[in-house]
This record gives sequence, structure tokens and C-alpha cells, in this order.
Amino acid sequence: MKFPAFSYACPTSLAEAIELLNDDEDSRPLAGGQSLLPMMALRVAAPRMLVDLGNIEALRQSVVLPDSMRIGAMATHAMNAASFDIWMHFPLMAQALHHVAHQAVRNRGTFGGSIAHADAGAEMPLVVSALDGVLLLDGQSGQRTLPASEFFQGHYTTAIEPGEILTGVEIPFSDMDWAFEELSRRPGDLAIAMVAAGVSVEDGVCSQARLMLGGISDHPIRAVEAETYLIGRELTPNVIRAAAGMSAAGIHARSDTHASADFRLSLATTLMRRALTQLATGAI
Amino acid sequence: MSKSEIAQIRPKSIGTSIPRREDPGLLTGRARYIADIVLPDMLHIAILRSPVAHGRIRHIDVAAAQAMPGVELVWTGQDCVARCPGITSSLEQAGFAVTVQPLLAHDEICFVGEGIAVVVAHSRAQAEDALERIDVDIEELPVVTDALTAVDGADLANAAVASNMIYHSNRVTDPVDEAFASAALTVEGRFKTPRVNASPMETRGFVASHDWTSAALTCWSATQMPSFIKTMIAIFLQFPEQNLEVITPAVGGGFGQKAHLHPEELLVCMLSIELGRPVSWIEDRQENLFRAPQAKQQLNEMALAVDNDGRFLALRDRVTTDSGAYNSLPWTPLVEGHAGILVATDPYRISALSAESLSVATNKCPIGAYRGVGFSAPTLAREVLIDRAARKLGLSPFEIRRRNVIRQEDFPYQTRAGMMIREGSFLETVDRLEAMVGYEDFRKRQQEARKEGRLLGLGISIFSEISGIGTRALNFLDYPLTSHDTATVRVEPTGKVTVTTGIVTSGQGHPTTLAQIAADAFGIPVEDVTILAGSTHHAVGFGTVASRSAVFGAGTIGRAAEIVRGRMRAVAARLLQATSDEIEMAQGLVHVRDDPGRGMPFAAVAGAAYFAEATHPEDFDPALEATAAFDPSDIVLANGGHAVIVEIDLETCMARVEKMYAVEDCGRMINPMIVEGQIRGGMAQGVGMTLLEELIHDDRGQLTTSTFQDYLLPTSRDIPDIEISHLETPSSLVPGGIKGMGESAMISTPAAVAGAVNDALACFDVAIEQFPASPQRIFEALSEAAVLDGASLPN
Ligand SMILES: Cc1cc2nc3c(=O)[nH]c(=O)nc-3n(C[C@H](O)[C@H](O)[C@H](O)COP(=O)(O)OP(=O)(O)OC[C@H]3O[C@@H](n4cnc5c(N)ncnc54)[C@H](O)[C@@H]3O)c2cc1C
Repeated sequence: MKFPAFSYACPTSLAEAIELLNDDEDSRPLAGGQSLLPMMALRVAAPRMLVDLGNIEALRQSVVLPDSMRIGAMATHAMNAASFDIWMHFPLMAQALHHVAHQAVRNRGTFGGSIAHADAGAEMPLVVSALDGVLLLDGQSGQRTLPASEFFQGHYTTAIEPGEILTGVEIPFSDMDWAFEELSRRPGDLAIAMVAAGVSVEDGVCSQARLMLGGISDHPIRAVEAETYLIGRELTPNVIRAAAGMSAAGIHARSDTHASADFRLSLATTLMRRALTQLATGAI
Repeated sequence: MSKSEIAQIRPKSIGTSIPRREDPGLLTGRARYIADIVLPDMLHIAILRSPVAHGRIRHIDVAAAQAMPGVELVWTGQDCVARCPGITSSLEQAGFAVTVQPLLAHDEICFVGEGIAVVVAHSRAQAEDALERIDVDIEELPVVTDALTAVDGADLANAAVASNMIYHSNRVTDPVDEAFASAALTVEGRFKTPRVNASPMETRGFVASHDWTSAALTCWSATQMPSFIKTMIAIFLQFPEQNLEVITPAVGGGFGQKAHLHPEELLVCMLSIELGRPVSWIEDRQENLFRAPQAKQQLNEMALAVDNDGRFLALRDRVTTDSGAYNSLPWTPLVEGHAGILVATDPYRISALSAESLSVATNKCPIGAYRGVGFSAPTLAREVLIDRAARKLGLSPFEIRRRNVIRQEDFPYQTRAGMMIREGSFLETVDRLEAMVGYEDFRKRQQEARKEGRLLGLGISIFSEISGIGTRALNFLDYPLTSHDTATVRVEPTGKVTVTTGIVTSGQGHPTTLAQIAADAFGIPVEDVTILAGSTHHAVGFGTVASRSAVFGAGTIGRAAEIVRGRMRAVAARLLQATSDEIEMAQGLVHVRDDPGRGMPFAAVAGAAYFAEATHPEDFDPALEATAAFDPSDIVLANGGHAVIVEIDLETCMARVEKMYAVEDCGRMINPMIVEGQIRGGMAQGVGMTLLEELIHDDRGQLTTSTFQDYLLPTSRDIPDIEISHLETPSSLVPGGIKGMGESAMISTPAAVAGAVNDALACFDVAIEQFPASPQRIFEALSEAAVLDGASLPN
């Protein structure tokens, strides 16, 4: 478990980093290294060149805008977990961060790294998808943005082009209430199944709903049918049960060492019901 | 004098929780482990490991690897076999199939991870780079992964093992049919324990340095069995044993995994001899998961016949051990199912036992020892069945055990497998556990929780532990081996004591507990004792395995000290004008019995023996140094019990441990704090084995749980509070009344966790017999019982 040989650069500007990445097509950005370095030690990945993003100050910064917040790609999970702005504006994210790894890993692992890595069991891709985040990319041919729904394509697969860097995610403020539920084998493990549920309730009925499932399929999935069903309905136990059942219907679930597809679908229903129940009862 | 003679030791430091003297070094990172051994000119190796589970090497080309930067040497199996045919592992038992495990495969490959070639380079990284350049062409052969079907299957896992049967035994064949036919109740099940890896924090490692000028071979090994390793190097490599030293640095946990002769160890020796330079092998975590001895995979098909009053009539067990492709040395797969079945009835009066054991070869890593080896699986099966019987008869799990445990009036009690139980506190253990758990309250709480959709379960396990395993115990377990230790005790001129022992430590606190024993043997302060260990130049030891070091430490140090004490008494008798028999040693004094006023400091007597001939009696032998061996005259049996409460989330199928309890009776405790540390660690491992850990092989023999992301060790967040209570029934076979206890928690915690899971699900008539009880397995069991859809809880 020793790294294969590679060269290493630690630029201080984004432009420099992009240039370095494009100089060598076998190069990879290095963020917190919590996923990439183990893969290299196991020799599953062997990039010739690592471009460390750690010294690019701009990538670490997060800014609160009038209607949204831009979170820097290089903000660590620990920074985000301690961020008052995130706690205020995105309680969903604050909740989900409790489930990301352990303190030592959160101290190094980054928001952007997690999103770029796109593990199907990772929390941040689900959060960003649920909150309609817009992914900010920068590369040789300039900047571009992508909605989360187009960004996450599969387990370890995203729309990032070779040579591109994810600089951050802009997340609009949400006026919904949010709940998060997850099951993993041990506290801090990647999720077997997780859900993010957001609702607004007006005059006793649901006026807005956003239901997302993570870990079930190879990328975050939106339960559109269940969302539609909730609109105009009161969040009674029966309605919740029906919506939860609908949310998992028809999903092509993945199956691995820890959970079969059937089990994942059953978990999706359970976790969605629990999340909606939390929202209905205010028991967050 | 007999090697089982019991010296007199008067407990004083024994029984106190003094801090561990080795901790300052361990806790501040100053202790030196195998990876800290850095020698001038040292080379590093990396081993190419087989990607297929069964095959034949057609062709192997190492030229490109040889040409890589920093590479000194590349060897294949052909290079090795010319120098050493491999590790032959046999047992003198009729029908036992011998295997020879090559140090590197040269023809047949029998499991994923088996070594194929080795690169020696200036750094481990360079060696790994070179591995990628080795070109191997392997013809794949049919793979045998399931021990059950392997027995009748046409395919062989290892061409040397006919019918894949390493050993088949029907050692105890009491007629049980009648008991089962007439029993009011029969409970039975097919219990599968997982294949696991002990996963010590420090992986395996070995450094060898051959000095051609002196023809000496010095080795450093992260091992539990240095004396054994030394002799095996001498035998397998035909190396003169007097020129060999095996040094044991600080060892970061062993748990049995480091109690084997590993092929890599011989390989490193050969490479150092070949190159005339020190060679180091530090195993990485992935190698450890693939190749370090794996453990515990048994199927117990067990049945228990019970009468109307809940009394056990007969036990039938057929155990199949998934043994892997080669026999480990020295244990062989018999250490799992076969050893286990011989204690299957243990803490209970069961008058008929029918026990059949099969050790079956498969294309997996060889199975070996891991804490509680052999015993965890049958204990789990038996205790879960006992709970089941209790439920069917409407008895409490404590009551049914009370009715069956071996009691005071039964001692000495001979089990059907032939073990003599002389003493124990089985009944007290049941009572104590019941009080700790608060049984009635628990059942009420369980009822309440069910109303909220939470499933609580209580599991109990009562065990006995064959500790201090010496020759008698090994013979009982069908190992025709001899196992004794020696220690040398020397009283220095200033009255300080130096003990050299063959006992090595892998974190259990031996430097502290052995010093406590030696201090009490001489009646001096523990600070005055030094323990020298960790080199085969010291005393001889069988190894730190099988909960034996407390017993052998007390036995050897006690006997050697007695010899030295006799000489000191003779000097003191002269000085104090008394007879030798009247002289006692206590509180740093040597004095006339019942008259501490007529005495002198211990150091003064030592000084007199060294420096004042005038004080010597006639024909005095002034050597205040003696070496003695010890081997207990029979099996030293410890006992105790565990209780575990789990909570299962009915919908997510997740089981979590809420609380754990232990009752331990290891005779007189040397250091209660250390005893409790052993219990806590073992209980955590027990939770791992029953809820989390599993090495999963697919049907091609590929290990799918190949990193700690998928092989799930329990973390501190998975282990709840542990409450511990002690009973003390002294052993009559060991000085000070000491017994061993290192394995107890891992023998019986798995049973208690398994019982708790089953208790939680019993309200649905759902049973879990395959472990770990992962959410997936609980989901499947509940789905099959159509519980999940309804999701209404019975009261
Ligand atoms: C023990 C352990 C437990 C963990 N548990 C969890 C968990 O429960 N939940 C969870 O979500 N994660 C978990 N992780 C993963 C952790 O969150 C990682 O930090 C994260 O997935 C990757 O972030 P990183 O900053 O370490 O990225 P790196 O490992 O440095 O990079 C990951 C990948 O993303 C690419 N990359 C990184 N940054 C950028 C960028 N700005 N632009 C383009 N590409 C980029 C890299 O090239 C690489 O391919 C765990 C990790 C460990 C070691």
C-alpha cells in the first residue's frame, strides 16, 4: 500500500491549477485526499500528476449572497459543520454533516472533493441535489455552471470534464423545512440509504415538497411523483405513508455487500416516512 | 521434582490494580515495534499475491521487475522450493491429511493472496512498483468455496487433500437417539459463524539479519511464539539453532493471528542469508486482510434434548470447519471446530454427547487461531438453543441455566468429552448475572419498548474456559504436543530480582503482572523486580496463546523462586539462629515465622550470599539464580458469563448493543484492572464477530471485503457501557490460585449477542442463525416471516 510514483504541484492560483491540469492529461486535482489517496495506496488509481488545490485561498472561501450562499470547494467538512451560515441557511446540510465520516476525516475531507468524487453513499451530493445547488466549474475553456440534476451521473461519475475544477456550489436559500435520515452500518460510514425531505406547510396543507433519495441508486434520485402527491394534502400518517411508498417505487436500486436492492427500497420507504413524520410533528 | 509442582506464593501485590509499567513507553509512542527496526543496509520486500483462488502457474517472467530501480533480487516459487520445500503441517492423528504450504507457490495456487513471487528492493515502494512488472500466466482451476458441498464434490481445493477432508472425527459417540426420542423438547439449529480476521492494530512483520562473519541469524518478529519460530526456522531452513536469535519487539496486538509460523517469516530469513543484508517485511493492511490467518468459520448443526423440567438430556453436534487451503502451523484447522466440539457441553451437566467434526479444505486463506478459537462458535450455538428451550418451556433464561449448570456437589465432574472439572462458580455466575441485569425489570422494559416499535433482546451466555493451556489441555484437545515454559529468577546482590521469561507480550501487561508474581514470591516490593523478556536468548516459552501466560508465569517464576528462596533461607537461618523451615519472607524482610522482630532485610541476606562466605552454611550453593519449568498437572478451568442487551430497529433492521455485562471467575486475579481490560477488549471483538465483521468470498474465491471500508470492525461508537463483576474460585493447580482469562470474553460474548438478537426477534418467531446479524440478514429473516409489511408488534 505505497503510492506509485507521481509528480506533485501546489499552485496558489486557480488559473495556474487549470493550466497544470491541462498540461498533463493524466493529472488529477487533490483536495483533502481522503478518497483519492487511499485509492492510490491501493493502486486502484495511479495519476501521473497531482495538482493540490490546498493553497488556492479562493477555493476555501464561502460567501453569503442575497438569495443564496456559495460554498467553496475546498471548505472542509469540519469547517462547514462549524459554519454558522450553513447552520442558519441550510439546516439540512448541517444535519447531514453529522453523518459524514469521523472528525479526523472531516478535518481533511472537503465539500468539493466529496461532490467531485460522487460516491453513491456520500451525503453532500444528496444535500446539494435536494437544495437545487448549482455547480460552479472552471476550466481551460472558461467557466460554466450546471444544476445538480445534470451533474451527478452515477457512482463516481459526474459531468466534470478532464482538466476542469469544481470551484464551489451556489445553493439558493430554501423556505422549506428540511429533515434528513440515514442508515449506515456504523456511525460515520457511507450511507446504505438516506433521504432528504423538504416541505412547506400553509393552512395545514403541504404547499411545496422536495423529496430526494441517496444511496439507493447510483446517484441522488428525486421522488417527483410523491412530491406532487403531497401538494395540497395534510401531512397525516396515512398521507405520509403513501408518499413514502411512492417515493421508492420504480427506482432501480443498487445492490452491494451491505444491502440488497430490495432492502434498500424498503429502507428508502422507511427513512422517507420518518423524515416526513419529523416534519409533520416538528420533531427535528 | 515434577514440572507441575505448585510453589508457594503469598498474594500481596497480586490482587492489586497497579498501573502497567509498560504504559509510559506505549502511550508516548516511544516503544519500538517491528516497523521501528531499521538497520544499516536494510532491504524491503513486497510479495506478489495470487489474484485467483485456484490455478496452476504456467509461466512467470520476472525480468522486467528485476530491471526496475532499486531492485536487488526477485524470486519465484521455483527459487524458494529449491531451498525449502515449504511448511509441512501435520498432526499425529489417524486420517489427518498433511499439507505442505510452499513459501511461494511454484505450481499449484490454492487461494487468493497466496504468495507467487517476492521482490527485494531498497524501499517498499520500489518493491511494489516492481511487482507490477511481473508477468504471470495462470491456468485457472475449479474453485472450491463451500465447505459443505466440498466434501462430496468432485473438485479438490488442494491436490494434496483427498476428498477435501483434512480430518474427520467422531471422538465422542454416546448413543443419543433414545434421549432425543424420549425428550419432551428438542431444539436444534444450523449455526454459521463468519470467517473473520483478528485485525490487530499492528499487522504482521519480520526482520532478519544474517551476519556472515559470525554465521548468526538475528530475527525480529511481531510474534506471540518466538521460541517456536526459532526452532521452526532451524528445522525448515536447516539453520544451526545455536546461532539463531528471535527478538520480539513491542507487539501491537496478536489475538492468535501472530501465533503461527508464517511463510513470509521463513522467506525473509532465506533472503537475508542469500543477500547477506538485513531484510524487512512489514505487512500492509490489505495483505493482512487477504493473507494473515483467518478465523472462526464453522457450521454447527446442533441439537439439544430437554425434559419437561428444562433439564438437558443430550447434545448432538456436527461441526464443519471451513479450513482454507493449507494447514496452519502449529494449530491446523483442528483448532477451530474440532477443539470446539470437545467443550460443547462444558458448564452444564449433559450426560450424553454425540460429536462429529469435519475439517474441510477450501480455496481460501488458511484458518488459524483467534482469541477464543474453536470455542466461540459451539458456545454460540449451545447458548442460543438453551434460550430457545427456555422460551418454549416458559422458563427464564437464568432459571433454565440454574437447573443445568454443574454445581458444587458435582465436583469433580467429568464431561462426556473427558475433561475433569474440579471447581468453578457456575451457579453463582448465573445468579450474579441475573442480579446485574435486573431480569424482571428488563422484561417489563422489553414489553414497554415493543409498544413503541422498539425490539429489545437479552442474551446470556455461561462459559468455561480452558486456560493456561499446557500439555494436558493440548492432549485433551487432540494435540499430541508438549507445552511447558521456563523462567530464570535471580536475586541480585542488593536484593533486587531479575526474572527472565519466555513469555512475550502483545499488549496484555505481562511485564507488570509477572513482576507482581515475582514480588510476592519473595515478599518484596514490586518495584524491586525487573522482567526480561523478548529474546530467545532468554528463557523458553511455548508462546503467549490460549490464556496461558498468567498460569505459566506463576508456575515457572514460583518454582524458580522457590529454589532461590531455599538458599536464602539457609543463609538467614544461620544468621538468625533458627532452622530453615522457620524462615519466612514478607514485606521486604527475611524473618523467623511469627516473629518479625527476629529478622533482617531481604537485601542483607542476598548480600551475605554473594559477599560473606562466613555466613554460608556448609556445602552451600551460593547461586541465587535458578531456572525452572512449569506445566500444570491438569486443565486449569476458568469460568464466567456474559449478558448483552440489544435493540433492533424493526424497520431498518439494524441491531445495536445497548448494554453489556460480564461475570468473570479467573481464580485469584493478579491485577483486576488488567483483567477488566481483557474483558472489555474481548467483548468488543465479540460484538464485531456477531454484528459487523465478515470476510466475504464470492463463488470464485475472491475476497469482496478487502479493506476496512467493507470489513467492519466495531468502533468505540458501537460498543456500549460494560459492567463487570468478579468471582474468585482459586485454582488448586497453580501458585497463588491463579487462572487464565485472556480469551473468555471472545468465547462467550458472541453467544450473548447472538442470544440477544434472537430474543429480540422471538416475538415474531424469527430466528437468526447466521452471523454477523447484519441489517441485510435481519431484513431477509423478517421478510421471510412476512413481518415487515404488517409492522404491527405483538405484545
Ligand atoms: C474513514 C472514512 C470515512 C468516510 N466516511 C464518509 C461518509 O460517511 N460520507 C461521505 O460523504 N464521505 C465519507 N468519506 C469520504 C470523505 O468525505 C472524503 O473527504 C470525500 O469523499 C473526498 O473529499 P476529499 O477532499 O478528501 O477529496 P480527494 O480525496 O482529494 O479527491 C476525491 C476525488 O475528487 C477529485 N476532486 C477533488 N476536489 C476537486 C475539485 N475541486 N474539482 C475537481 N475534482 C476534484 C479528486 O481528483 C479525486 O478524484 C470517508 C472517508 C474516509 C477515509
